[in-house]
Parts: sequence; C-alpha cells; structure tokens
Amino acid sequence: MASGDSLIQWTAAANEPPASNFATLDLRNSHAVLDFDDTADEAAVFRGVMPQHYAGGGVTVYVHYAMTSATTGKVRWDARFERIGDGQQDIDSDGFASAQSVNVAAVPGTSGHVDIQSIAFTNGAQMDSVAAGESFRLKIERKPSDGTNDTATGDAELLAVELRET
Amino acid sequence: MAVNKTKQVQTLVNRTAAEIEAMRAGMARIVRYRDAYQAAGIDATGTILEGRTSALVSALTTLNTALNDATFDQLIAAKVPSHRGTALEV
Repeated sequence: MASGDSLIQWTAAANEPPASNFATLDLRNSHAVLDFDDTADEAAVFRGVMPQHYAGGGVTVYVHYAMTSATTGKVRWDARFERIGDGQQDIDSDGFASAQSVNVAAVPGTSGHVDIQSIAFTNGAQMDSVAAGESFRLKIERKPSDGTNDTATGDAELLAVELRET
Repeated sequence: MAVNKTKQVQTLVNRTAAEIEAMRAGMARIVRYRDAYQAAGIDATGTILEGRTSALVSALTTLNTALNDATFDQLIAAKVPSHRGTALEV
C-alpha cells in the first residue's frame, strides 16, 4: 500500500461503547451518528485488524463529524490505539496508548455540514505498536474538559472514522 | 481542566429558559382562572378576598407581564437542545 491509501473505515454503528462516559448512538435525518457531549468527555471505540498491506509507515485517523447545532466555536478530538495482537494485551483490562489530538479551530458554519479532521500517528509507540495482521481498538474521544480548545456548545456528532497509511 | 465558559453560559441559559417556560405555563393556567372568576362577576363580600380582589388581580397581571418579557423570549430562543445543562454545579 502507498501513503494516503485507506486501510479501514468505520461508521457510527460499528462503535463498541466503553462501560462509562460513552458517546450515544442517534439518528440525524436517518444518518446514524454518535453524539458526544459538550460538557463531559465521552468516547467511542472501534475494533479492527490491521490489514496485511499496512507498510509500517504510520497511520492517520480521519474523523468525520458534524455539530448538532453549533456554527461557531472550537472542538478537540483525541484518538488512541490499543494493540491486542497475539498475546500482547490481556483483554480483561484496557491498555490504550497515549492520545494524539486535533484542535479544530472552527467548527463548520453550517451545523449539518460534515467536517473531516486528521490525527497522525507515527509507527510504533504512538499507535501502541500495532502491526499488520494484529487486532486492535481505536478510541475516539471529544475533550470538552479542555476549556481552551473545546468551546462549541451542544453535541458533536461522529459519522465515520477512516484509517489511512500516512 | 475546566470546561470553557461558553458551556457554563449555556447551562445558565438552558436551565433558566426551561424554568421560565414552566412558569409561563403555570401563569397561563392562573390567568384562565382569573379570567373565569372576573367573567363570573363574583361578589367577594364575606370571603377571604373581600377588599383584596383588585390587589390580587393587579399582582397577577404584573407577574404575567414580567414572565412574558421579551428578554425571556430571547433566552428561550438561545436554548441549545443537545446541551445537557451540567456545566454549572449547584
């Protein structure tokens, strides 16, 4: 695979919600979305197997979202990986690596418009060393607790996530 | 890190607007009873309202006017339905 090629895609319905502080599944004009609160940090989790054609060049996570009603303000998205692999993670506990973030300076001026933001991960520790052929989980989180970088009021709605070779 | 002030402002707006809407609904019910009472032309002599009916009606009119102030219309219009109103601790 070449840089920029798509590895995996998920839609809102693929979410495996965490036990607490989870984004909630909703419908917006028949589009399945995940609602992320504007006051409490909430997360969605997506499971995948890294394709064999992943070349080890790092990955970029693309977050497709729209705001429920806000047309001004900022929003912060975090993403983090958990390698499950072959004997790498005891699934009785969580082992997500540190988050990488994107601070969106301005949400779309039309609340129904979908914005696509990217978060880059270098190969190795940043993506919890997930390798080709290994299963993993990807956690996407909105961070209203960051009062500097998340100011938009009302829910942010996640429609899809794409993973590409960086 | 604390949530941004925009969320705290929105909590005040949402919570206040919800209470004002509830008070307006209550006021509308009171007004219906007031109007029915006045339309019936009831003589309050010998009742608890003797000599007090005008004051009561006046006070209710004042309250109704205050609750329907245009400022509250703007507040209600500023509600964000998906904001859960939890950014302020009370």
